[in-house]
Amino acid sequence: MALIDVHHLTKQFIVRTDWLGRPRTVLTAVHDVSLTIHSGETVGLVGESGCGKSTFARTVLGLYKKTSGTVLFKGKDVENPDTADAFHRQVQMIFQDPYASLDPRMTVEDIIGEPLRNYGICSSPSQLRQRVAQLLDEVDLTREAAQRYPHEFSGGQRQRVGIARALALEPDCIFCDEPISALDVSVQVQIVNMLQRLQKERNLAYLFIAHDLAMVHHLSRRIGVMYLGRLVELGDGDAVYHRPLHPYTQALIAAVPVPDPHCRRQVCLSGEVPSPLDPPAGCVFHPRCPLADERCRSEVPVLRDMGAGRMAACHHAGKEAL
Amino acid sequence: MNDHLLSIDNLSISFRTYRGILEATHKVSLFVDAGETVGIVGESGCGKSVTAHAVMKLLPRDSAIYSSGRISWDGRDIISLDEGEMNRLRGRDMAMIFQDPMTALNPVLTIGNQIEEGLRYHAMSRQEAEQKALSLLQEVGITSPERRLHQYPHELSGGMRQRCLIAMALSCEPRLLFADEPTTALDVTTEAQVLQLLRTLQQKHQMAVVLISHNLGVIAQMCRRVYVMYAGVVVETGRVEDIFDHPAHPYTKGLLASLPDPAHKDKVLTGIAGQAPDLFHMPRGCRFYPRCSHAMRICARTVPPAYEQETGHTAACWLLCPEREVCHGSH
Repeated sequence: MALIDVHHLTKQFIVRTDWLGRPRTVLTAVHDVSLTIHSGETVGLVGESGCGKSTFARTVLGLYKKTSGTVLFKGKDVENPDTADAFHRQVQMIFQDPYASLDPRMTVEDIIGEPLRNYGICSSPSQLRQRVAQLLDEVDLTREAAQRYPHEFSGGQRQRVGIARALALEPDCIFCDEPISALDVSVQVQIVNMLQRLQKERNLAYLFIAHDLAMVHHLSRRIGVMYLGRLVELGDGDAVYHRPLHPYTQALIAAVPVPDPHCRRQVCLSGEVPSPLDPPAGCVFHPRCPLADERCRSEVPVLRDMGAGRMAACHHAGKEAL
Repeated sequence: MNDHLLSIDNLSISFRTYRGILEATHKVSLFVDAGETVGIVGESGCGKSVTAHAVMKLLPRDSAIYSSGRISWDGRDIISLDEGEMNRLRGRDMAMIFQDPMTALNPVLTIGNQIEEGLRYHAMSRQEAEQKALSLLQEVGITSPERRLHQYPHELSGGMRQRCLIAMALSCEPRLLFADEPTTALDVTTEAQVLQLLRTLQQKHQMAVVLISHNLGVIAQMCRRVYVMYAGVVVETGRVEDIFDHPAHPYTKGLLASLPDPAHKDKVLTGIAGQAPDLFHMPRGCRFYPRCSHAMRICARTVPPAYEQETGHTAACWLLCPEREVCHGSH
């Protein structure tokens, strides 16, 4: 049974209302996305900024109210109060910006201890202190860190504090929203290696959101690619990275600058991501797609099964675009 | 020595701060020849931007100190130039594009205004400037340039703003362009477009480009030669192939080992332990020694000199010392 099962999730934001308060301009940030996360696996979610990957994660967690769709946790709907409680406890999140996601007025002990207090896990202050110290060990911070404030730490160390906070309730799954984007290359590796170690030790599942494709591929068993709020491709990590089916995935992977001076590529996807307020008709990718034809301009492609556990939302999936 | 377009010798830049004097770069030497693309790579705070800003003399005048070294532009010493002479140099001889295209553009002036400003400064009539601005926008691949000239920065996307900045920098046909993290704020597909544009323009105008980036991929794709900086010093330099194929300095090796290899997914990344040193408490010997897995006793005491590996490929590390016993004996 899947740990988290998301069915046809849609999230719309009302941008403008008329004088009666009725929605006039609606922005669809996440459009009909379905995704399954099994226990102990890492699912990567990639896409350019504004494609809805963070909104998807936040909506699944209930940080935004979903417009439609269902989220099942261990087979039960999270709308159900009993499941909701377990879901919020078992699924935690770490954020992109280690500067903004920690309260500057709280000590590290308060920050990591907050979920423990909220759930009444540690009854006495000494017990709490001990548990925090244990968590600090887990993320390779010294125990003295407990009495210090976030500003005394570097970006990498703050991200470790954020991870310790997420681990406090012994979750089954952590949503990692661009956890390494704000860090230096050498520190990124330290965090990534730590996430992998914790996953092995605790059988954690991750939803790993990032725009660094190479790192997502390194970490993830399965990868989902989003474009303009839609999931355009989903499949086994290696397959998606090495043999992408959707022309957008192909372009995205081709655009990554390869750290090899002998392999200089000159491919370019032209144009820019259209405004989500006014998405193109038909396939949303057609204005930039080298394979686009009449059908793409009128008919919306559905995410269809391409065999071997792979899905792609494209009329021409599998053709070489570049 | 004087045939380089730009040469920097032993440049140290310090800043006056509340906590005392802070040395941001220490004895940095580098050169750029006409028409070549040179990369400066390193992590945040390593002094790569400070070096570029120092050449353009864009550092805050009340706190920055040129504590030692010289910068020579086409044989002329830059440090001694006054502001008026510098203004004539900026734009026409060297120009810069910045990391964040939103803050680098003035939000209350139209794009056209901002591009024309430099042209007008270098004695061009209003009509000529407007014509030139139009052709520049076309050159950097902006659609419907007539309309864009009268738009404000907030009406454009990030990629477009970066293109406008490039147009501004190119307006007076500089011989050297500093690109300070030009694509860091952009998405990968836009990044690829901007890099492609830079490459085309560089070849067309035969200008030299100094590309500052923390992204090793960008450096590998764009540059001919590279300087690797760490904590204010240049630790390794060479042709891009030398640096990527056989890096000599443990820091460069560590950086390269931090990148995931798509072909070997299960390999654990080694990376580099620890974090960059505090600029106020710099190690006495080699600045990388506290994080280095090969550290020897000599590394803690004495700053390593730059050892030449091949022609033009040097690295500052005691491991490369030819009299190996001298250093390695003291393990």
